[in-house]
Amino acid sequence: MAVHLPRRSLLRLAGAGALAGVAGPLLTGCGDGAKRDVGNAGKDLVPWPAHVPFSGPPPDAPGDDQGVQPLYLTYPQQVARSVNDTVGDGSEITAMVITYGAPPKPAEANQFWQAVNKALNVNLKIVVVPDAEYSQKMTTLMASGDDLPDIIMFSQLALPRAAEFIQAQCADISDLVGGDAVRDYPNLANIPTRAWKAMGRINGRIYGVPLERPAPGNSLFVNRTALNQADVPVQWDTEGYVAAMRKVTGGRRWGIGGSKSLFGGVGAITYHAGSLGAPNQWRVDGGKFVSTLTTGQFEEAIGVMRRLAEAGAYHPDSLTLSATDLQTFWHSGTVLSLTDGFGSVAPNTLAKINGRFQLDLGRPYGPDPTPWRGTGFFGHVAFKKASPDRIKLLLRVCNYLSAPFGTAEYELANYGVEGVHYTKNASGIVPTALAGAENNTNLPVKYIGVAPAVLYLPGQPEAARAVHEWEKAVLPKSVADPAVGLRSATQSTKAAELNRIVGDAVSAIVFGRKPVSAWKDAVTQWRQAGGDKLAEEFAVEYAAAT
Amino acid sequence: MTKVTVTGGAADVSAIDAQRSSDVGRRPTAPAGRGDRGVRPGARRGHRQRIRRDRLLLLLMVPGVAYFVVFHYGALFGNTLAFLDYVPFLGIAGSEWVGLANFQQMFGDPGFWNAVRNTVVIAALQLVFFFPAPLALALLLHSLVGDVVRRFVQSVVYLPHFLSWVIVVALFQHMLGGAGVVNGWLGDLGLGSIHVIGNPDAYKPLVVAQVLWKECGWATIIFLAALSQVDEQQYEASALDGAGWWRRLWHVTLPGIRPVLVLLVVLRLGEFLDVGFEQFFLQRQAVGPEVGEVLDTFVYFTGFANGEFGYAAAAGLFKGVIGVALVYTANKVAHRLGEQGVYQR
Amino acid sequence: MKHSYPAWQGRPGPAIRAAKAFALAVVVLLVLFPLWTVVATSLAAPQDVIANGGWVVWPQRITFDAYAEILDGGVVTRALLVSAGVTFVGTALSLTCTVFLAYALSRPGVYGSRPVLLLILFTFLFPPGMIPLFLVVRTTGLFDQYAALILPFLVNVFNLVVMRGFFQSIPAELLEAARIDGAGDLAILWRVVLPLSKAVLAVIGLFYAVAYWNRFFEAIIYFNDQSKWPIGTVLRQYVTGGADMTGEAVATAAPQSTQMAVVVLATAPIVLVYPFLQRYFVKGVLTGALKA
Repeated sequence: MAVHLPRRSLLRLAGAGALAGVAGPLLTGCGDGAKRDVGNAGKDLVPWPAHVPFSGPPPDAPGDDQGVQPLYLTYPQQVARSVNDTVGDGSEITAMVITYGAPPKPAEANQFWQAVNKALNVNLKIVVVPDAEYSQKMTTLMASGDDLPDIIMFSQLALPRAAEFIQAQCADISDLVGGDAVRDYPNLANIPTRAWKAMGRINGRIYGVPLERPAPGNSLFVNRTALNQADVPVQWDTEGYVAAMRKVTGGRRWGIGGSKSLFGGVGAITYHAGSLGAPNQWRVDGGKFVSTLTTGQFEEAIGVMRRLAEAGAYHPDSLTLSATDLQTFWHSGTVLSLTDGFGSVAPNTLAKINGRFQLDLGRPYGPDPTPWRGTGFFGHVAFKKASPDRIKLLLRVCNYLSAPFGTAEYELANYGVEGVHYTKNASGIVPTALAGAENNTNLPVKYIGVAPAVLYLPGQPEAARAVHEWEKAVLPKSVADPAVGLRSATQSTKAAELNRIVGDAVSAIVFGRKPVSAWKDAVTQWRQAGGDKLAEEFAVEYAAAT
Repeated sequence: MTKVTVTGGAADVSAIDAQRSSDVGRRPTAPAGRGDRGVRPGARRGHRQRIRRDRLLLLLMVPGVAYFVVFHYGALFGNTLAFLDYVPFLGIAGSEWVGLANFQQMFGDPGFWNAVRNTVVIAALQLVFFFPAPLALALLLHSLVGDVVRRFVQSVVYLPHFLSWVIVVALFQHMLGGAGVVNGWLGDLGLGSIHVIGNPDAYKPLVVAQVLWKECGWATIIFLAALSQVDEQQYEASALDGAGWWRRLWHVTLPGIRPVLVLLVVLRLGEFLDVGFEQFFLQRQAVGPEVGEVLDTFVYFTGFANGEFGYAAAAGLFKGVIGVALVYTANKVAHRLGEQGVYQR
Repeated sequence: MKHSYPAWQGRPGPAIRAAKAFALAVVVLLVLFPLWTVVATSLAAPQDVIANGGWVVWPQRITFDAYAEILDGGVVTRALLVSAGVTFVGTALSLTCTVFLAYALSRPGVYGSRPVLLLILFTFLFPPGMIPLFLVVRTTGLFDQYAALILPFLVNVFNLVVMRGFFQSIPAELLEAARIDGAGDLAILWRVVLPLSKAVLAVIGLFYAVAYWNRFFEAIIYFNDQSKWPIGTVLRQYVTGGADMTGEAVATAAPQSTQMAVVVLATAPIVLVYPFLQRYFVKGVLTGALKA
């Protein structure tokens, strides 16, 4: 019982939603006899909020409906205003959010916090929850009864019974944001429908506002400089890819690197499975849910990885490296490619690479690829039950913080105060030293509301352009996970276990501890441990939602 | 043993000897009598009188006992989770009673028994290596005469205790990994390579070696404290008898610290199945569950990570029951050997 | 510093001494080399660390940037004070309660001592789970109070049992002699037991202090106000990576040098306590007492 729980990013890597939404057999009833139904099958469904895109400064290359992001090579000259009315009433608002940063300086010593409070006209109290302890903190929060913060952020990790909790304790905001009602909050109306869908309804109703993320999922990051030196083309087929990884390996450099967490689930295999045409977690087949694990393409992907391992193209410690160490090897050019979340396309990554090589993303290699999309959202916020006026105030706070790129509100929420936290020059935003301590990572207001992401990497236009080219080439063929946003009647009690079964089997087969034939047994084990049950539940929800 | 006490002479009754005699005296059933060292006068009187007699000592117990009542017995209801399908926001009262379902699920899972097997082997290895090594180090340190050297070494060897497992595992990886420092040297010298990290056969020795590296110095501290209580005059007496280093170790040092050793072993047995979590969670991937799964990691995946607190509580109860059995047995054995153990008969 | 061997021991031969020196040197090297790597990495420039594959043994350029970055802004300084306060108060309270309880339980025949001991041992075997303990902390009004970092961990069973064991090894003659001199139970504790138990007091005090200092998880669960976080909790946040890091975390992760600086900063203060305690590890405390 005294076990200290580590972070749960292994679930995040699974491309959540699917594996992280698994259900178990024990939980059909909930205590007091009243069955809490959070599913949407057979319910009146509130319409999704209308999508009214913001027409901001013109990008250097447009985005599209496939999820390609608008590209900005430089920062817009002119920024707009998206919020004209007063947001708050001077009252205190508590928000509990996840954090990946250091604890913020207290408000009285934090100019960023003060500026946010002033702009919102509220006294924002932020409770930061370190990501490693997020699930435990949320569990104790749920055990605390009515004593809740005004705004609670839920990550897309499947928190056990989170949906039931939200339904019981949080405000139903359907009437405030459903359909055209969302037009009262123009920045929330700017959130694409796919993000709302990814968050999903509970019992047919809307209980939160999603935190949007770009469409690409786990992707292959490649060291383009090293590949160019080895005359590896941008487009490759399976044999070409394997040969290329073999060719660039040698002299204490490895073509591909893995980590404990990547191999803890399907993280390490997403790129290969997508390249070879395996469905993204699930394929809907005549109303039935078929797991990607049961497809020949997925098994083929394991085979390709095994060939890479046999050829020595994997870093020898790929199963034990921490993700941190793997990142270091990647930034230093010791490993020349790795699978990582699309969120790593960020200034911090480029700063660590420090010009050692040109960052690019790998094209899928198979003849008929189905690159796996991400879930399209990071999580969502929900609101403690309160009077409609109070909820409207909280929505206005979210609306402000969700202001799109190219607005003054975005600048404040993302970069801070001009002249204090950043300056502008020809290439765009230049953070000041103070921004190292006062920023939206340490004071994570970006998890209360966030703008739909655009492609802008300050001072790195060529990297941004390369990513944009990749998005244009890859996203049209990409497939989404049909289970994202679906509730199962009995949610989430087997995710980690199912994930472990998959990760253990993939690791053992790829690195030769077990024969390829062992995969069949692993799939059987997975089905019996809850996989089959999960497929049934998703199928029911899916039918209701469409 | 006998020899020591005899040569020790009546005037300087040795600590050990004195303790033996006080053992006898400590038993409430022992006859009261002439200056009998342990038993408090009036041990046989009624409750009220005994309470009045011991009121000061009872008063001293109050803060500590209150702590255990509030924070342990107050939270002990948590063990009922093992029989519930516990949902945090419904509370214990609102959660469904499932009887032994959590236990059935656990005991019916071959993965659970595999994890138990691995845990027992690793715990046994830890027990075998983990007591002698710090003891040997403590004896070595204790035998040093130079104060500066001794303090320096002491202060150095206990440092790894403060590193988290993440860092320890990363450091081992850095040194011994397939692309690690040692293999780099071996490669440069054309000596091939060693396969330690990620080798299922090497896994158990590896994890024990890691524990040894991290905790050995820390564990010497308590032995050093015990050694400082050993009566120096016994060494003199023993030396006068012509005993060499080995015999002094065997007849003076070890008996002198034996009570503490026994305590530590019994307490360790109480947590026998707690071999640690993070160390194994970080490394099991490389060798697979057949070798690398221990009870805590298994329960993490099947219970904690999914918020199955009832299941996790059931596993906790299982460990506790095993602990009770082991402590009870070990304490019995200790009594047989003439030791007090953690509690008296 | 006198380097003399006790009369009874005699000077060991050169072979023995060489063997000892060798053994010690090996142990010290095995420990120091990796630790040095940690310190050296914290002093290296981030780009040098990356170029070196994550660890540095000899930094090309020594820089204290990592430390400056962490100490900037006052958050860490405040947390250091919190930790120092919690550790100091907690250790004092814990040691006091443990001594009282261990002493009362070590005296033979005290009313109710056996059932009390057994009930305490029981809690050792069935520790409370996270949620039940959290609920107790809430009910007792400790939520968001510094006391939540102390009271739930006031007495450690292991420490209690060990201390009781040491108290029991004090020869009963000494206690009896004091009693005959008219000393009461408290006086015996104060004048006989404690002076003879300096080593174990130092050890158990150290155990408590280190436990208080290292505790980070509870602050997250029991506090909603992060300005009350102790140093362990605060610094842990710089080590975003830990074991698993993807997308969101990678985008903000601190460089390895910062992470190692965190390790050094978080451990250095508590590590420095031990050398001051070593003087209580004197040999033969009982001998003198028995002679007297």
